[in-house]
Amino acid sequence: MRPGPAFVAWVLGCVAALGLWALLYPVLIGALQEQDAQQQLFARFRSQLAQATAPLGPTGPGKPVALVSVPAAGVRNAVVVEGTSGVELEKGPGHLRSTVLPGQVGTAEVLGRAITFGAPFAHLGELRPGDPITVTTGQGSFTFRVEQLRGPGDPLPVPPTATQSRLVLATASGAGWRTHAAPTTQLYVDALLDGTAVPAPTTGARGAAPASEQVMGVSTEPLTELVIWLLGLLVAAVGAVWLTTRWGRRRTWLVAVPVLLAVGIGASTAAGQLLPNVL
Amino acid sequence: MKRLALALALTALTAGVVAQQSSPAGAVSAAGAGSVTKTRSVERANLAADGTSQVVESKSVTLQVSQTQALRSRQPIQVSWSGAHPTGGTVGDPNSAEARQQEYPFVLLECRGVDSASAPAAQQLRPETCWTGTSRERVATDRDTGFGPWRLDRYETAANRKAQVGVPSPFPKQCDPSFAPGERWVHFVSAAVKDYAADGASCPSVPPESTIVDNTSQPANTTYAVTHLDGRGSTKFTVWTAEDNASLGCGGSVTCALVAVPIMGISCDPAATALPAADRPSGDAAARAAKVCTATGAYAAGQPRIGGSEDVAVSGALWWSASNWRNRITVPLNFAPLNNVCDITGGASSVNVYGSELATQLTAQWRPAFCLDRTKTPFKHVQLGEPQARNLLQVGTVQAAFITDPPATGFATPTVQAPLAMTGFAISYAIDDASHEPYTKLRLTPRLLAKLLTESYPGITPVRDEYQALSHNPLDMSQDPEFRALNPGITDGVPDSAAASTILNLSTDSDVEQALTSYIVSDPEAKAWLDGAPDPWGMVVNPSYSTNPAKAGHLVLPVDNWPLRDTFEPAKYNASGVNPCLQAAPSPILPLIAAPTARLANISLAMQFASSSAQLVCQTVQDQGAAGAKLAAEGRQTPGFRFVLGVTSLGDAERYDLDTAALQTQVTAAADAKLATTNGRTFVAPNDGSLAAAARLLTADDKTGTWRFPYAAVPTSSSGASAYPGAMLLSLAVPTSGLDKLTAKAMSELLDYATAQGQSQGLAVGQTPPGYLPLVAADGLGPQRAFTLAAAKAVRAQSGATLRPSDPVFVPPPTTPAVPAASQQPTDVAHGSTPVVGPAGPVAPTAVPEVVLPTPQPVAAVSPGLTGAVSSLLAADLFPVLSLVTVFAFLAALFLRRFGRPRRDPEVAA
Repeated sequence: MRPGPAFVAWVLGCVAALGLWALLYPVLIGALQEQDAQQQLFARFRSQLAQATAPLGPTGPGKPVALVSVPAAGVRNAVVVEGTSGVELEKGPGHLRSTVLPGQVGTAEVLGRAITFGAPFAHLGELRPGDPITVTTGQGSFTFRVEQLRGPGDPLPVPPTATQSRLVLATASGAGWRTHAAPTTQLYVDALLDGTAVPAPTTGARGAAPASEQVMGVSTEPLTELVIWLLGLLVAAVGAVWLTTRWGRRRTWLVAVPVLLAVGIGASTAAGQLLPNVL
Repeated sequence: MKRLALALALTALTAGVVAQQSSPAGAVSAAGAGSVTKTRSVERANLAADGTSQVVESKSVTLQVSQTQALRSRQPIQVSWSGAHPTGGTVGDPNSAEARQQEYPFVLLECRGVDSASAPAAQQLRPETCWTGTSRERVATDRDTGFGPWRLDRYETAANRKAQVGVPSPFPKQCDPSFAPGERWVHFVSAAVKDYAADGASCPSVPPESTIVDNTSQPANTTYAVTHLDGRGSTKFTVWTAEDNASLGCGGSVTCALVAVPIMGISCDPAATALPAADRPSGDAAARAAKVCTATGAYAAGQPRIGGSEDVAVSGALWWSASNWRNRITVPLNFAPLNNVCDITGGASSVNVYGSELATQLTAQWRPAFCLDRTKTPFKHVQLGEPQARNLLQVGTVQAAFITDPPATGFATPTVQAPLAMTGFAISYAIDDASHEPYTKLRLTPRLLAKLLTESYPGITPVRDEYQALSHNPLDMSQDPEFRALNPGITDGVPDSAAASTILNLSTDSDVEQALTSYIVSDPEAKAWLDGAPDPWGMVVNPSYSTNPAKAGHLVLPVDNWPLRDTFEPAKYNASGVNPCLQAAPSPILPLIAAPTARLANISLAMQFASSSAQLVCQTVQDQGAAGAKLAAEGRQTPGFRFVLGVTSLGDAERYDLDTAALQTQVTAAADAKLATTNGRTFVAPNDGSLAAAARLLTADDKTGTWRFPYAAVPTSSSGASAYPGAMLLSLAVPTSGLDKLTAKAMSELLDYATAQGQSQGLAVGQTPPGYLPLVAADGLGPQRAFTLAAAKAVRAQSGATLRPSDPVFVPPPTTPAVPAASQQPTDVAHGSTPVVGPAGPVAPTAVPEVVLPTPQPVAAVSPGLTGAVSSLLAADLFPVLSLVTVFAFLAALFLRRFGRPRRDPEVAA
C-alpha cells in the first residue's frame, strides 16, 4: 500500500520541525546554555582569583583559566576555559592547551565559537589593528593590542621574543553572509602584549592538543552519548505512542512532551558537541 | 692598403694583450668593447694659377678610439692619435669655443648620420649635423677683403664660394645687422630636422643645448684637442646620447659617429679661375686674400696663445671647410639602449626597487634585459640613501631595497638581504701634475682622507691667517708633505687651493659614509691623528672634528652622515668686503668650501669635468645689487691646473672613466716616521683582483643575516693587505612574507639573475658593468652566490623564511662541520604522533618526564611559515543545508495538505 499524501505531509512536517529545531537549538537554546555556563564559571573563577588559586598552567579541561574582554568585538569578561574541543567551547572561549596562558612569554591561543552557543567570537572580524584585548589570569591583568587579522595563506607573525607575549584569537569565518551562517575559513587575530610578559611556570609539561581541539576540530567522543540519547528518544517516542492508545492524546501530551523535550535537548546537546568546535 | 690594415690590426691586438697582462688580476677595464683604430692620409695642397697642385704638407694620421660599442649617456671615451700636425697657439680648455682659434688643432665632433655617399641625403653625415657648443664655431666672416680662406678653398663647391652663404633670409632682426663682405653660416640641423641658422652673439636661433656661458655647466663635447710636438695626442671625448642632447639626438634608431678632423689648413685656389668674376678676388685684395689663405701659422708648435692673431686658414674655426672636412676620420658609434627604453616598452607593471646609488650602473645595464624580456618582470631603481631605504623597507613602505649594511639589530620582519655583487666606493679625482698633465697614480692614506674630511686644511689664506687652530697646517693637500711624499711628481700648490683642501662628499645619510669612516678609524695612524695627536710634520686635526673622548662633544666615528661641524668665520676677511656675499651675510666658511652634495651622481659629474663645488664665488644678479648676490660654486677648473677629489661609487668611476686613488691598507714602516717614499706602505687600487681579495675577508653575521666587511682586519691580517678597503657588498633586501605576487616574482627573478646571466661581465645590456664583481666562487663569493640562490627561492615562496649566512649550506664544506639542526622550532607536530586524547585531559605534571617541550625560544632563523587552511564541510554547509531541507519540507507539507486531497478522491472512487 502506498503511503497516503496525508502521511507524507505529516512526515515532511516532522522533518521541517526537526530541521527548525536543529537550526534554532544551537543558536537560541545553545546561547542560553552558554550564558548559564559562563555565569557559573565566572562565579567560580572570581573566587579562584580572589583566593589566588586560579591555574597558572595546564589544568583540567573545562576549568576556567582566564577572563577575556574584547570591547571592539563585543566580548565582555568572557570566561576562558581550558581545552578547545566542541564540549568545552559550548561553555565559552577555550584556551588551546598546547600553548602558554595569555600574558606568559610565548604565544597563547584562544578559540571561540562564531555562530552557535552564544557565539562569543562572532564579531572578531570587526577588530582593527590597535584595538585592545584585556585578559585577566591568575598572574594579573594584561592588555594586548591587535596587530593583524589573518586568514589561511597569510604569513604567520614573527615569533615573539623572550620578553614578548602574543595572544591569538581564533574562530571560524567566511566571506560576507557566510561569517554568520556558513563559515568556510578561519580567522586569526594576532595581538601583542603591551608591556613585559610574565614567565610561564617552568615545571610540568604543557598539555597537548589533538586535532579535535585545533581550530575547526571535530571530536567524535560525544557520538556514543548521542547514540544513547537517541535510543532514549526512541524509547520515549514509542512509549508516547503507546500511551496515546491507552490514555488518549491530551493526557499523553501532558506527560510525554516534557520527557521528549528533556531527552531531545540532551540529544541535541550531544549532537551540538559534534559540530566543528569554532562553528 | 690591405697589408697595412692587417699590420695595424695585429698591432692593436698585441697592444690589447699586453694591456690585459699588465693590468692586475683581470682589472676592471673596458678593453675590447669595440676599440677602433683607423688610419688616413691627409694633405694640404694649394692650386697654383697654372693649375698645378703644390703639396704643402701631407701626413698619415692614425686614430684610436677606446670604445665604440654600448655607449651610454655622458660616457667618456679615450681618443688618441698620432701623425697629426702639432698644435700652436694652444689654450687651456680644449672644449671651450675659444679653443677653435688654435692653429692645427685636432678637432673631435659628434655628428649625426652615416658617412657614406650611398646613404640617403637625409641620413648623410655632414657639418650641418655635427654638434658645436656655440654658434660662433659655425660662422665665419671676413671684413677685410671679403675673401676669407673658405672662399678660396679649392675643394669647395662654386655655390659655397659665394660672398654670402647660409645667411638666413629674411635676416633675423635680433642678429647683428652689420654685414661683412664675406660670410659663411654653417647651420645646425637638429634630429627633429629643425634648421638652426647660427650666428654670433645675440641671435636667438640656437639649439637649446648650446653652451651657456657659465662654468658650472657641462662643457660641450666639441673638442679642439692639442697635438704635441711628436704628432701624438690624446683626450677624453664625452659621448652624448639623446638623453644629454636631444637636438643631436644620438642613440636608439639615430646613427651617430665620432668625427675627427685633423686640421691641416685650407688647400687654396687663390686664382679661382673656374669661378665667375664676382667670386674671384682681384687686385690688391687678391694678394692679401691669397696670403691669408696660404698662411701656415702665426705660432710655433706648442706655443700658448697670447693674442688674437692666429692664422685663420690653419685654425680650428674652419673645421667645416671642404679642405678640412675631406680629411676627416669617421668612427661610427654604437649606443646601448637608452634609459627610456623600459619606459617605452610599458613600465606599467614594473616593480620599484629603492635604494643605493652604488647600484646605479648595475641596474642601468640590467634593466633593459628585464624589460625587453617578456618572461621577466621589469623593475625600476629609485635612488635613495641606503639608511632611508632600509627604514622604509622595515616599516613596509617599500617592498625591496638596494643596501649594503644591514639594520643594526637585523630585520624585525622576515627579510633576506641577498648579495648581488661586490662593489664599493672610490676616491675619484681630477688632478694635474707639476707638468700640467693628468696625474693618474694617486695614493691616499686614511689620514689624508681624514685631513680632507675634517676640514683641517685652511683652504684659503684668510682662514689660515685668522683661524689659530689651523694656522700651522698646510694650506691645502698639495702642500702637505705626507701627500707629496706618497705622490711624487705632484704639483706644489694649485690655483684653486680651496678645492684642494677638501673632498667632495655626500651630505645625506649613506652606507658609503659608514664604509668610508669605518675604513678611516680602523687605521691606527688616522685614529691617533683624529684623536688629536699631530702628524709627523705637526699638522693637527680641526678641533671641531676631534674624536678625542676626553673632549666634550667629540665626534664619534663611524657615522652615516658626515657632519659639518666647523663654525669658524674669518671676521676680518668678511669685513673687508672682498667677498660681498660673505660681508652681507657672514657664515662659517669651511663648510662652504666642503659644500657636500646630496647624490653620488653629482660628485661623479663634478669629477668628470673637474668642477670645484666650493661655494666661494659671489654672484650678483643684474639690477638687484648686493641684495641679489648669492654664493655659487667655483665651477670648472682650468685643464692643466685641476685639483678636485670626490667620493664616488666604483660603478660611476668606471662608467665615467674617472681616475681613482689607491688606498692604503697596511703599514710596516715606523708609525711616527716622516715618510719620504711609499716604502713600507701598501696601497690598493680598486680592480677585480682587489675586490676579490676583499670578498675573501667578508665575515658572516647571523645576527643581521648578512656578511660584513671587517675593517679592523684590513691593517692587521695578512690577507687584508691586498684587499681594496673601499669594498662594499651590494645587496638586495626583500621581505620573505607579505609581498604581492608580482613583486615577489620580480625580486626573485632579479636575485636569480645575479647568480646566473648577470655574472657575465661586460658593457652589453644584461651584463655586469665594470666596477662590480659578480658572485663567482673563484672570486671568493661562492657562499654569497649560494645565499642569493636560496634567497630567491625564499622570496618567491613568501613563506616568511629567513636565512643565516653561516649556514653550512652556504659555506664550502671544509670550513665548518655540519651542526645538528636544533634550529627547528618546537611545535605541536612533535606531539601529533602521540596525542593525549581529548577529554582525558592533560597528563598530570608529575607523570611526564622532563623530556619534551623545550622552552619555545623563538629562533629568528626559522620560518614562521604561512597560516594553514582547515576546511570543514560540516561548518560550511550544515546550516544552509538544514535551512533548505526545513524550508523544503515545510513547503512540501503545506502543499500536500492543501492540494493533496482532490487528487486522492479519484483513487477513493476507484
